[in-house]
Amino acid sequence: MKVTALLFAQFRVAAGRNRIELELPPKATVRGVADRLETDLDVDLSGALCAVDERFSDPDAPLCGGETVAFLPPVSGG
Amino acid sequence: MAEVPPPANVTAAETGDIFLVSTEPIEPGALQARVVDPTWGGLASFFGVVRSPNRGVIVHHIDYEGYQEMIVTQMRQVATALRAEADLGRILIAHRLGRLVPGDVSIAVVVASPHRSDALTACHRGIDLSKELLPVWKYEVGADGSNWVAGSSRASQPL
Repeated sequence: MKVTALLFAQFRVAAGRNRIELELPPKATVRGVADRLETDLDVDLSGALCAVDERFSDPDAPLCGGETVAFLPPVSGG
Repeated sequence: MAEVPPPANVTAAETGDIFLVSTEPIEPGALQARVVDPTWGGLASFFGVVRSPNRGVIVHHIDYEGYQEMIVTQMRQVATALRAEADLGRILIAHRLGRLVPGDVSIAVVVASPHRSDALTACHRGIDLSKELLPVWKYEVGADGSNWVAGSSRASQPL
């Protein structure tokens, strides 16, 4: 299944890109996307907040394909 | 700097709430004018301003990066949470992105209500929730160098 992964701020800088399309095995989780990115892009996502389709998500949430999965450093807006 | 997306200017059809994300300056009076209405006797506003010095160090500028689509989604979540707690009129939440200098307004929360206590409480809660939930990051450049500003992980379980 396909998902779109987004990286922001420190993670974007470390990976050198902010968006990547991934092909993953069925029943992959958000954490599985992170593991794949860490391997492929040599980026450390520990401490990331996770979001699926613009909503915060548990790292162990399952995916069904087609989602946009974002990895966010702790937020510091305002 | 990260790419900055085009501005978002969203009005919720069911409530009239207003959610703004833009690189353009935030003008407090103009935003308050979009919320004020005689139906609601109270209007409470919070405006966050880029601070300098910060922790004793002069700040030159801050580059604000955001996940624009999710900012709007989370602004809606904040408004929904506020409405669950009090009788409110219109809610406006705005966040500026891009390069800001000390004195610039970075965030605005404006809440109207028939009653002052509801307006004041919701405005305070609204800025607190916004700081926890809006996916925005600050890269601060100052007299001592530059750094990503430490953030909050309260929104959900981190990896």
